[in-house]
Amino acid sequence: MKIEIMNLSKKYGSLYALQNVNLTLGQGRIVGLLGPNGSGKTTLIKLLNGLIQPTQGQILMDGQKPGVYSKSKISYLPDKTYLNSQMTVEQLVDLFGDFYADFNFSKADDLLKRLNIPVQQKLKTLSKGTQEKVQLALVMSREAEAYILDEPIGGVDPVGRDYILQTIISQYNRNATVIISTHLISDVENVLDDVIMIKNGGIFLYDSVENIREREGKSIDEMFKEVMRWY
Amino acid sequence: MWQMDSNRPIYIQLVERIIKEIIAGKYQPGEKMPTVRELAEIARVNPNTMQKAFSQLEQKGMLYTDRTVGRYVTQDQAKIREKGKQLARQLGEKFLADMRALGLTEDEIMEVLKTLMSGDKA
Amino acid sequence: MVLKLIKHEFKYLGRYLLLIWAGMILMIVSQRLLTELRESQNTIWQLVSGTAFGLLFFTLAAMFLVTFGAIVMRFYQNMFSGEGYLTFTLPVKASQIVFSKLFTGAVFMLVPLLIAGLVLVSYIRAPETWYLLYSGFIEFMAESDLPIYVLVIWGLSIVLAPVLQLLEFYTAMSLGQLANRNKIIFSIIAYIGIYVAKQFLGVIIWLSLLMGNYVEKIEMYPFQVVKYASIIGFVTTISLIVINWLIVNYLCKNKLNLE
Repeated sequence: MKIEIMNLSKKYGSLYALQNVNLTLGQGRIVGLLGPNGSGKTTLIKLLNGLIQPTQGQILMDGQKPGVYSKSKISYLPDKTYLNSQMTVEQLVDLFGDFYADFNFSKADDLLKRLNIPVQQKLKTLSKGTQEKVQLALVMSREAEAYILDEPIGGVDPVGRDYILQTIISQYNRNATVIISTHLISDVENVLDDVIMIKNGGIFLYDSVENIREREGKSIDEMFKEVMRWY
Repeated sequence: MWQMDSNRPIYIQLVERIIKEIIAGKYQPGEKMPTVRELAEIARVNPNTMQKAFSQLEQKGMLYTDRTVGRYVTQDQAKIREKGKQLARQLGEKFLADMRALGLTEDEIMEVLKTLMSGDKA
Repeated sequence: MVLKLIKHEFKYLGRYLLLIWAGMILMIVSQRLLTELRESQNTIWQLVSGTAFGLLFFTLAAMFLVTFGAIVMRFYQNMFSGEGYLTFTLPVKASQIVFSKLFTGAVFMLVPLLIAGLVLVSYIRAPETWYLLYSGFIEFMAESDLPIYVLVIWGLSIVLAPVLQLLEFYTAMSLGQLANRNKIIFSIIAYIGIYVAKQFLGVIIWLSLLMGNYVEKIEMYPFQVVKYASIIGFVTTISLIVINWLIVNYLCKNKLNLE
């Protein structure tokens, strides 16, 4: 999926959460969206998902504004529990499969099995870490054209984190764009193709991990920390 | 998960590691390599990066592509041995440079080496 | 897509309410049976029957309230809590989401209505009573000269009343979610505001009608007043439904404030 962001701004009252953002994301790239809290990351993600409307500018996904079509092509993992915990894992698989034509049932079964998730149990009976794995499994079971993962490794232990990254790599589809928003940069660096660094509602860097490492001789994590000090 | 330096491009490090493994015999001459995706998963890196590493390895003549079947380690054993010698020489040079920087003489360096190697046998 | 949404609403609410309804229906049936004791000579049984009547009324009312509450809570949770992140990223239009919930809610509200109706009807024993009711009805229609459509309007108003009530709650919650904190409190405030506005609107309409050229009509045949009142009431209900619908859709589409 080609994602074009043009002169995008979002204002809340008199405050700009995002100001004049211009970006074009190509297909098949795994992109890191890096920035501190309040930088506009969440706003950008909500705009991409059509949860809020821009104040100015526009987003085009394969030439269309966020809407029913783009939602059918984007698989979104929010950074909170967003599933009805009264439902069983099986029922949730059923729900996803019903609404998303690109949902792959066998992939879902496989992922859930590998993650040792008891599918007949209600979500609320599972530990928080397991719930997050369920959410990730459902999102990654879709053969989507774009994946937007908001802090996918945030509340998980290191073993779980590693597993999640492995899942992201193994489900990688060269036609799909993957956007990973995170502040745990060092954990995901090796998986990223490109990084977008955002602060105070503006993009101040969009480059490939390779270029940055060659140019700066530093890890993205180190570079990010340094640059953040200056802004 | 492969250990990697965070301040150098990843694909370069992947190339280095795979060459080492070929030299060490982990991948035999003419053997079929795992797919880009399989190896990327094991190494925990972006498949695009692994793809680039594979391309580099092809350029260097360490791997070759057999149409759509996959990638294979070169049959050219001489080339592998040559590469191995190159690498050994580089490691040796670094070892000597480090030892000399500590102020050791040539004889002292030989002593260290001898002790280490007999220590291995014991 | 709407059908899929409706299916899931039915599944989820149904699972939850069916159990509660089962329990309540059991209570209602036993209370209804106990009221039969009113025929008894024994004072104790008469007392029991009297209490049963009270409980029956209470349980029927509770059935309405519980059903309504469940529908409203489901709406809030599924739209404006964390679940909103799923609901609003499904490949469906916001209007389809709201409609599916409204439709399911309206259908579910018919159940307590049906039960109440059945209980009422169960008190009519003799077939003569039915005939009496029927002939009384025919007489009423002849005397009042009310056109059939007024009856249709009355029937529709009964069905649409819960729809409007649900929508008003939906509007209140859609307004309440605009707040960043204490969304529920703001929803309550919004509902109070809607209630007050509605009363105010009602007063204005009636005052303007009375003060207008229609004063003479008060002296006309009383059933004419009933006819016009029914029509006005119906039109008002439909207009309010439309207004609330538009507000809810606008807010969900453009002013979604998920946290």
